[in-house]
Amino acid sequence: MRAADGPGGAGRLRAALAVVKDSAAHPSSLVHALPFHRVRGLHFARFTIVEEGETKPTFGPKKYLPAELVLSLVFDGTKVECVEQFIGAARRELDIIYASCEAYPGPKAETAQVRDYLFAHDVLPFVFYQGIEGATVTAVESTAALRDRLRAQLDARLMHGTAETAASLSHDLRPRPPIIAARDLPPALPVLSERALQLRVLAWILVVVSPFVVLALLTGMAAWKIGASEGGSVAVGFAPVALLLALLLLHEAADARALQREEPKSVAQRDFSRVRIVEDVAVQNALSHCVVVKSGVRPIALRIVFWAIRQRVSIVDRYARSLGGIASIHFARWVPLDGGDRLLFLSDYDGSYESYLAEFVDRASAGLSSIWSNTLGFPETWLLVFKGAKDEARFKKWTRDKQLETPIWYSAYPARTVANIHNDLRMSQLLATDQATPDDSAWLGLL
Amino acid sequence: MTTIAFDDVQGIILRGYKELLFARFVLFGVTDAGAARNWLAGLSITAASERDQETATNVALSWEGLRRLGVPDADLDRFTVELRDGMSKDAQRQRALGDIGKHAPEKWSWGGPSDPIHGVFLLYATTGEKLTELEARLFERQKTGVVALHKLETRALPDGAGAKQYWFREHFGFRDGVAQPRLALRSQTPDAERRGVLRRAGEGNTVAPGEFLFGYANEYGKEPDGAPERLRNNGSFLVVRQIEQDVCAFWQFVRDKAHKLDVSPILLASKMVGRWPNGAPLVRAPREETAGLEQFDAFGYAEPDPDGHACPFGAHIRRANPRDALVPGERQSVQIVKTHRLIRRGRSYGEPIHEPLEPSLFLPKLDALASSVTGERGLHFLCFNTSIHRQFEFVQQTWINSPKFMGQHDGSDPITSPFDGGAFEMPGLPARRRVTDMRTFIRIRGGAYFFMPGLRALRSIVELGP
Repeated sequence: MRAADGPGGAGRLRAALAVVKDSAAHPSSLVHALPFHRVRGLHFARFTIVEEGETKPTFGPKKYLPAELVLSLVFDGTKVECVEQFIGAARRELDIIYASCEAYPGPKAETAQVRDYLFAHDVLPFVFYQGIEGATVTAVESTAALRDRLRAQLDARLMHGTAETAASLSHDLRPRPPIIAARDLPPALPVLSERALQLRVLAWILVVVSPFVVLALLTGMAAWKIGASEGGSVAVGFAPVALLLALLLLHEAADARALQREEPKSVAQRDFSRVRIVEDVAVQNALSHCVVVKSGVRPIALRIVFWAIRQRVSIVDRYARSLGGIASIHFARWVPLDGGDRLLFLSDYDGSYESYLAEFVDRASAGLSSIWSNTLGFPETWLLVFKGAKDEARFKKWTRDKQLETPIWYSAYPARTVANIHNDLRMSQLLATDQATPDDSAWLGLL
Repeated sequence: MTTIAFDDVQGIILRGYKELLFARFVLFGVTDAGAARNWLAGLSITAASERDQETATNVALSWEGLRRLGVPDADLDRFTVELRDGMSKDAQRQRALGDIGKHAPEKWSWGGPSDPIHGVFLLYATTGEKLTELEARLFERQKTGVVALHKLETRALPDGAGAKQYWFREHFGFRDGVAQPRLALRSQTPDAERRGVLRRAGEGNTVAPGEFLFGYANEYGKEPDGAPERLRNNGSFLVVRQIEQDVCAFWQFVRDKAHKLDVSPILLASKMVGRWPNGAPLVRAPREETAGLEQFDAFGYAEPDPDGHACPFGAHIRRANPRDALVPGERQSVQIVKTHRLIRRGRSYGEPIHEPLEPSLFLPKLDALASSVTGERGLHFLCFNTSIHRQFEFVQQTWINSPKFMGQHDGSDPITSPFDGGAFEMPGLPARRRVTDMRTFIRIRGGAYFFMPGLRALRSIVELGP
């Protein structure tokens, strides 16, 4: 959800968020700045401030982009449930934070008015990725508690040596009846082999390429119909795709030249202290990042890319349990701001910023380049996916440069990594079945 | 593949000087820039092309030191932010490195926020007398323009078997410094030049020189850019950390925990390290300390030990260098790990609690030793890299200190983590066993980031007119 503010708005918004943080019960802790924990089913939440900026459309004058306040909530259940609970829990703080935002109903308004205000500013993401499909906050917490309990029991059994076998340990420690029923756990996605995943990647490529093949066929057939020769029809058929590629290459060449002009000027690095000071306090971290989208064919390219990435997530990534190879993401979303003039990226991830960025470069550079090469200042790319984020030093500098502060950020389970949650869910799933099979002790390996 | 300008690279970067058993590191401050430049210009600094010498002298400068010596702002601005900030200034960096609580820079004996270090001399010699002589000669000039702030003494703990092979143990009693990256050198590099240059490493361990030296391509095919173009060629960033080790308390802890689990203390400690005291890696010698594998380094984890039954995921050497088992896919794993390697050049300091430094010999006398042993001991950790944030800081934060490394729940490095608490897990059959309430037996006593310039660059720094 976003709310616009006038010129100089970023400063006002920052001050308002600071007031809320300072008046919170535990000012030292980011987690308690707002009573997010009272919202049932809320996984992650944050307030982020997007600075004002401008964009130059292909036609017409420069366009002013206001400072904006971004509230992001990741929740189980319905939007109405979540937002109403949130307003109920944090109305006082919301009134302070939104005081300078355009058209906010104000402290005297009914809850429903505030809710409708927030809904009116709701923006749907281009892509929403979840690292652990279907896991509710309750499932995350209950499975972790189950593992903690069982692991203490296992420790006790293994004290002073062991004459135990896996079967006897499993028999004695397995809770009967199961503590967490299968229906309270997200359905287990199959764990696919390397080969099966490769096949899925192939299938995804086919899906992504097919519209272009269809386009080529249709134009080729149309040319054939109006009497072009065989060779001519094939040429005409490929023409639209070739045109798109040529247009893209022209854009990329122009952008590369612009970068070369700009780069020597930007010696001084931005002061990152404000974004770094909240990093690495806990196991998880938040990245908020916003860039202005380039003009010309770029907004269209961006939409095509996001379509391809949505396909990728549903065909490959949900089974691989990673976003393009990055397995440390709880939630990630790309969101259009100002009708697509700006692109916001929010993610909740495990580990250090440095390790996250290293994964961007080492594992997902093609996918990320295909998205962000359509935005300003991104390192030179070729055909959307090549070079780009592979230019490690420039890419990291660019990402830091476009990073936003996340002054208020909440996680319902700040000590759990994606890997931990997968492990605990898997173990609980194995324990949820009552039947004793020969392979009954597999769950022990997850303890 | 590259040809390296051995005559321009300072010797310690490419060679360990293992035959020079005596070393002293002199941390200095610049008091008079003009005099210091004059003095530095007259010193003879050892290049990597020099061989078989009896002494060696290398020098590195902090950002503040470079500034004091008169390096212009335009160049200073081009140094990476870690060098500019230094190791001890910033709260986020302290969190990342674990320099909090008893490790906080305010408590350091050198390099803390009120103790700026401008540079360091690394002095090496074959004997103690030659070392003293070398240092005396270095400072014999009346007006050096620098003041020696701290002298870090070292004490070699040799573990050498053959006549010319020098291997060191660290104070806990384990062979140290076995795994080093090998530089990808052009095949026609003469054998004489290759000699001694990081060649004892295993296969699959050849790293682009740009990871450790400016002016060469790194693992991403780019020249590292964390230093100004004019000064960077054949230079490297030097990280120094003084790590105190509480050896008796470590072994008492291990002994008590091993007793509860009914395993031998040496096995438990070796599980924590990932190698036996003699250096044999657990993946090759899972059950006992095997002879003949002391320097063995040509191994991976993915195929022999995917579940960590031999070498636990949390073991020190598996964290510091996860080799082929960091992510699914051995080749991809190796490729990623190559971007986080360090050339390590540390030396121990302080008297060992026992000689020979062999755990099986001193364990029976441990309690007596604990009450009689005095003095401080530990490691002066030195390493070289060209990206402090991607290499040294990354390894420290993401692999060593992280309680979540490789999917674990709550255990940081059992040997070098700065934190108390958490558990050390040993996967195995019938089920994993773990040591709970882990404790740290190290303490950070000092540290700083330096730039070690190539010899030509050093000359251009000291020849700047006042």
